[in-house]
Amino acid sequence: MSETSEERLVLPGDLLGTAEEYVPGRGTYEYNGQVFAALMGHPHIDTQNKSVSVRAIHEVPHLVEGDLVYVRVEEIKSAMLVTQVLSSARTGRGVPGNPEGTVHISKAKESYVEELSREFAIGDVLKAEVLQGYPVVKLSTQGPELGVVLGRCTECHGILAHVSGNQLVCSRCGRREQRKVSSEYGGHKGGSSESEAPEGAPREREHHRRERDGEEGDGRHRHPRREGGFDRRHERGEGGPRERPPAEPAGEGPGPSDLSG
Amino acid sequence: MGSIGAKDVPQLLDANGRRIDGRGLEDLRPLRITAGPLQQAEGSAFVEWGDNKVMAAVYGPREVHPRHLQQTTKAVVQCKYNMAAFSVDERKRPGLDRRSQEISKVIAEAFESVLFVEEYPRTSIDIYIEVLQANAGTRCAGVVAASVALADAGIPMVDLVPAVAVGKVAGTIVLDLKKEEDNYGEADLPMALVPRSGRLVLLQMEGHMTRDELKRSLDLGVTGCKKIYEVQKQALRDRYAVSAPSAGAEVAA
Repeated sequence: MSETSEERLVLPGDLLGTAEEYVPGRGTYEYNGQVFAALMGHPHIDTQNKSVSVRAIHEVPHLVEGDLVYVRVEEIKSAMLVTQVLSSARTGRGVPGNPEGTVHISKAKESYVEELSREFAIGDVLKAEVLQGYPVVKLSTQGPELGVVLGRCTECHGILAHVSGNQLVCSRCGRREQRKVSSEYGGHKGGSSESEAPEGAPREREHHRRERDGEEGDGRHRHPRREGGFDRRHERGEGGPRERPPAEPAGEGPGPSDLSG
Repeated sequence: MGSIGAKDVPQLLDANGRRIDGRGLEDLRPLRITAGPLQQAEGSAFVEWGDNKVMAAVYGPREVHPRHLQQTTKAVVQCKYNMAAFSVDERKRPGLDRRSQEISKVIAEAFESVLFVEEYPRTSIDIYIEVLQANAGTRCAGVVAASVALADAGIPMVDLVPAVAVGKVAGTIVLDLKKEEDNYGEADLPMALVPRSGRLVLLQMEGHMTRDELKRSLDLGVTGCKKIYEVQKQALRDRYAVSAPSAGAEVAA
């Protein structure tokens, strides 16, 4: 038996009860024999285990079974994919410490996988489900919306565009590649290969909106922020073999900082 | 310090014990806190306190940059306090200076003792404090804003941290100095408090005070902090008690 009181909002430092009543759980701490909230959220009382915890409104992601995350492939072993967990797919918030997550070959796809390197490549960004969060992170990419959401050409490192099914084509050199493609391929703000903090979906405050219009497949109705992400990538000259647009018109004279002087 | 020519010193206290802006000795300036105004930051807060306007944004726990600052047993708390060029009368030269470095350091250390840093080893919790308009007491306003922003970001902490300055003006101990009082007064004593335990996590002093005055100042500061604490809590409640269940409705509208 357990209950969360949705009406009650507790803030850090609010008294939840005494140490005799409850074991301090997640988002709480014990001080002088009393249990206080450490997070802003709704108190949750587990009457079975006599513990109290706080369900945070905005939470730093901690991985539990069933969570969806964005990860990046770091290494492909014979029976295992080694990835770095980047962010929570629900909130878009970076997972602290970027832990290592593994996908076993048996959990990579619904069907049998002969060779993992035919389904994934190093550097691919995947959407994956957490099978186990502790002590090691185990992931699965089984399911239509799970799998590669952003891949790069193994030849020229250009961004791969989705063709159909599991087929991708390089936007730069035209090379065709095969992946375990997610139904959300390209539909999110993709990761630059630098490990920049929260890659992935928009932040929590936007995620309701995203759920409504994010399901329409490959970007007929693209989120303005995501579009911005793509544009910027083009400006950096990764979008194709075209000339990079000049950053600044040359010879414009004194920079803006001189205006104040 | 304190040797400014008496001719241009404004009269800081009138015969009735009213201050330059009409406040009593133990009155705070009007304080308004908005929780979560920024979208990109993980947590944020905007504080308008008298003529101060201060924005705080919090990121993390995230990767530590530069890497060598990383600690294997806990998160590092990094703070950047910055004043806008237009925040004061005479244009402030932008960028780091000794004052802002010092303030960043003391605020980071204050929060390091309040946050549960051991929960996120090898990460960094970054606090950005931007002073848009300054009128004395911006480091306190910064602490007030940052603690609301940290709570908004969902970073576990012992308690919210209110802060206020007490000072000595025309020989009298007063709460929450404004600019003229800070410039022409005899002492300034900013402090930040953890109300739950009564622990002071920030305490600085400029000017002179007797031992007895210091004692009274600390008591007055603690009383002031408790008032600020209530405003901080209300700001967070206003933002989330309403929006949490009706978030969908807000989006649909």
